[in-house]
Amino acid sequence: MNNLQVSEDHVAQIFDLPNDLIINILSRLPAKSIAKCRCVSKLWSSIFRRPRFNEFFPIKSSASPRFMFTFVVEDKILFFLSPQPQDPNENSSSVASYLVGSDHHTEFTGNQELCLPINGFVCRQYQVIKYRKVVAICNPITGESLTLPKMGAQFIDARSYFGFDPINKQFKVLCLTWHNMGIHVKSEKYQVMTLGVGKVLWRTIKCRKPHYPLHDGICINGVLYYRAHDVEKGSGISIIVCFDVRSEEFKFINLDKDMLVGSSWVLINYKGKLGAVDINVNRFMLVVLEDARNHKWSKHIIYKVPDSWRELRITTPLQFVGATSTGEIVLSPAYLTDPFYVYYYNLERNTLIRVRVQGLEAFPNHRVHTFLDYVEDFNLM
Amino acid sequence: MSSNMIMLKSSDGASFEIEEAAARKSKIIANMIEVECVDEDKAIPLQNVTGNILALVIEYCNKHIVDDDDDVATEEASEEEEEAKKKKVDDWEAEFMNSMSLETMFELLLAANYLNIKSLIDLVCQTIANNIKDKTPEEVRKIFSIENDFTPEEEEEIRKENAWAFG
Repeated sequence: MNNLQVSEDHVAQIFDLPNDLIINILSRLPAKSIAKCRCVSKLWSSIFRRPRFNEFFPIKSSASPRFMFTFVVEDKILFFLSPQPQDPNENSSSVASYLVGSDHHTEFTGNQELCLPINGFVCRQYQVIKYRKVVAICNPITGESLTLPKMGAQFIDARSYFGFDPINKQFKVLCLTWHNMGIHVKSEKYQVMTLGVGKVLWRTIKCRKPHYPLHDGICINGVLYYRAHDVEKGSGISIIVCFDVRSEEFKFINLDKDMLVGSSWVLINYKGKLGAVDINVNRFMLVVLEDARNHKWSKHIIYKVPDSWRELRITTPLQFVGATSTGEIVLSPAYLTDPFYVYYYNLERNTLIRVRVQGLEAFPNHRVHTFLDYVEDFNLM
Repeated sequence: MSSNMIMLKSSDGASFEIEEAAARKSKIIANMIEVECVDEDKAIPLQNVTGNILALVIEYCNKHIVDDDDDVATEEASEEEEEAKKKKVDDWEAEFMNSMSLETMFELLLAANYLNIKSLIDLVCQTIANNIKDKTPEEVRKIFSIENDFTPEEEEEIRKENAWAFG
């Protein structure tokens, strides 16, 4: 790096680099340097403002996927990133580095739900006093946060899902609100907000099948999936709701009969398809949606998981995080421990491998959310 | 190994002899050879590349043609050998780039662009990126000779927007 003296000014002037070379250079910079380079000139700031900069130039220096860990410490929400081992073995380890801490709403109660990050953005829903829920989108890379306008105050409960339409390149938030009176759910309402186009406003949309959501959702290829109760059929019947982010239409899929028992099913992206995983006593099960129209699921059942996993279920319960591109199931403890490990479960070999993640020792027992394949995005909202 | 040699001539009149296989690293020269507009006795004139830069380009191409040949010869090489070889190339490239000034880097980049040698373009771009990674906007402007065309208000605004990066 010594060969570069700033005193060698004028250098590039004589050569007048074509734009595609400038873009080639800049696209290799980490997010922080890019933010600084935005301040160089109007041309440079416009290069980075091209909405699809990332897509056209995905050569970034930190293109390798990462884990993201997030947890609340006092009145701040903290984000950490660490390299995600691709083909881990027992000796693999990774070091998490602190990314950003953002302040909370002053009335934050400590309860928060997070949607899976999309293109670097994180959508959080958290409760403030008096039952009110607030939805905020943040970019942990830039530290920016955008709080969405209030939803109607008359609703007791609300649940938000974060989706991305890859055709129109639009982020949308789907918010379901309902009035929960015992087992009866009333006056449910479905609202959508498109981000980044003009005024941010909630629009009410129609849904022919009243339902209220049960669990976290996941967005795969422009479709948001979440598990919900079918209100008409009674509260015991659950279904998978598919919300097309672009057309804003709802479709419904019946669960596989094995999914009717057990409530701990977690939806994951399994090699580009919707998958759901569950562990019940010693039995691990993965179901994968093969054909949405005909409600067809394929099933993978492991009747006896490795002993190490069974032991962990008593001492350090694991939560499902997702699946790697090669189909390994990733798990992490729900609370930070010292030492802290992330686990890879290989179905074919029926092995559980742990990877140590260092750097989080200072926050034992904090509720942690772990995400896979986090990619940096330096675009502003 | 092919021993076909061809001649390249720089803009300032220097001639270089280079193996055809190495010269083919340049898509432009490879095309010229394909359409047979290369006369065996005559040098290919490269109007946009000076002799000192062309020497660097040739050094790079020679190094990489040898490596490519190695790959073919040891197809069954073990993973460790592959890794060791890759490291060797990386070390060579680091050394190669480390020896040149910023001015030379920009010239080399333009030459690689003109000759269409993708791997060399990427190598130089990455090196320049590594070098400007920790620079301030003022320093980057100097390096690229870019005029600050923001008004003071605009500059304040954009600095504010990106303030997180300056901490």
